[in-house]
Amino acid sequence: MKSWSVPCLHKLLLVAVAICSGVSWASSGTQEGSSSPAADETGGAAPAVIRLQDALLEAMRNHGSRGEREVFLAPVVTAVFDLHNIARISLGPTWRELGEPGRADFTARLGILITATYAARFEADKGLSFQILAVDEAPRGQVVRTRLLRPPDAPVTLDYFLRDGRIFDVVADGVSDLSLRRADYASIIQSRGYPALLEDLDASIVKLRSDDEI
Amino acid sequence: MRSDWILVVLVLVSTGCASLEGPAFGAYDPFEPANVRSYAVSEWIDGNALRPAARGYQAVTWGWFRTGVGNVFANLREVDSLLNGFLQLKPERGITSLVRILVNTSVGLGGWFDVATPAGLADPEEDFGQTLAVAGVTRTRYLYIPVLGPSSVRDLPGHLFHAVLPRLLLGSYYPWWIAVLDGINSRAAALTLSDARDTLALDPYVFTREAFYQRRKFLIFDGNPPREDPFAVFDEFEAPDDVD
Repeated sequence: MKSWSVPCLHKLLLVAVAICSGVSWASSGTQEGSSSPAADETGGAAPAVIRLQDALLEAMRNHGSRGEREVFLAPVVTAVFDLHNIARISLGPTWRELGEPGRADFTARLGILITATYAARFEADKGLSFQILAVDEAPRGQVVRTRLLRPPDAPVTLDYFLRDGRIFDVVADGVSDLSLRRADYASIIQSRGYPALLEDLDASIVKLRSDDEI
Repeated sequence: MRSDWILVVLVLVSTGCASLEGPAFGAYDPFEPANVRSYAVSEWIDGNALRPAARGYQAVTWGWFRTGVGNVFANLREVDSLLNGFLQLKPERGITSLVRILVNTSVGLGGWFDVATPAGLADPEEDFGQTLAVAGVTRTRYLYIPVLGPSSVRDLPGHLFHAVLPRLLLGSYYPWWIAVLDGINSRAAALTLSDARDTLALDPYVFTREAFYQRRKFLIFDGNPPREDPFAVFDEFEAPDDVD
C-alpha cells in the first residue's frame, strides 16, 4: 500500500467504509429527485433501493438529531434489508448453533447497528446524488447497479443485490459489505467467541450514537 | 537520483518471489502472525505520531489547500498509471492518464486543480501490481507493512514505486520536508475514513485485509471483476430449516 497517500489507502477506506454504511459514503447525502431517475424502468426490483435512498434524504432534511433519524430510519431498514439472511450469512456456522431466541436477538442487533450507522452518517447533505444505472434480473434475485455521484471526485459504483425484493448485499467498487461483515464476525468469533461479538456490536452501536462525527 | 532508479529496478525485478499459492485474486495470509504484529506497530505509530500530526495539520490549514496539495502529488503519481496502462497493453487507459496529466498540469495549474475528473476523465488507477496480475500473477501473499499499510508480495514493489515516484521525477526538488508534507497531507485526507473504519470494523485487521483483496481484484479487472454467483451464499445452509 502506498502509505497513506491518496488515492490508494484513502480510496480503499472510502470504499470499505462506504459499503459498511450499506449504501453510500460517510456523511453523504442525496439531492432531491436524484434517487430514482430510472424508476420507471426498473420494474419491481428497485423499490427497496429507491425507498432507502429517499428515506436517507428525508432523514437528513427533516430530522435534525441523530436520535430522530434513527427512529425514522429503523422501520425503513427493517423493510428494505433482508436482515434475517444477512445475519445468518454473516454468522456462518455459528448461526446453526444458535436457537431461535439467539437468532432473533442477533438479527435485531444487526438491524440496530445498520440503522445507527445510517443515522450517524447521514447528517449533512454534501451535494451527492445517486444514479440508478440498470437492474439485472438473475435466476434467484436482482442486481441493482447504481452509481454515487460526488463531484468533483470520481463516482463510486454501488451494486445492490436483492432477493425477494430485499437487499442482502451491497458492493461498492468491488468490495462486498456481506463479505467484509462475514470475515469480520468470523474473526471475532474464532478468537474471542460469540459473546464477545455481541459485546463488540453493542460497543459499536454505543459509539455510533455518541460520536459527533464519523 | 541514479541510486533511486537502481533501487527501483532491483525492487521491481524482485517480484519473482511472488507466490504461486493461495486463491486467485483472493485473500491469502500465511504471514498472518507477523502481519498482525506489523499492524499493531503501524497502529501505534499512527496513533501516537501520524494521526495527531495529521489532525494538527488539518486544524491549521484550509480544505482547499489540502485538496490542492493532494492533487499535485496525485498528478505526479499518475505517471504510474500512464506507464502501467501501456504495459498492460491497454493504450486507452495509458492515454487517459496522459491526457489527465497534461490537462491537470496545464489547465489545472501544475496539478493543483483536478479538472480532468469532473470533465469525465476518471483516473484509471493502474499500477505495477496490477500489471503483474494481468501478466498472470494472480496469487499473492498478504503483507502488512508498518506505516505503509496493506499490500502483498506482488503489489509491494509497485506500491513502493508509487510512493517514491515524486522523488524519482523531481529529484532534489522533492526534499524531505516536501515528502513530509506529502505524507501528512495524505494522512489528513484519510482521517475521517480511518476513524469510521475503526468504529465500524470489529476486527480492523481482517476488515482491511479483506477489503484490500477485493479492491485489488476490482482494479485489476478495471472495475468489472468476474463475480461468483452472489446468490450462492444461500446454498451453504444445507439443513431444511436453514433455508428461507
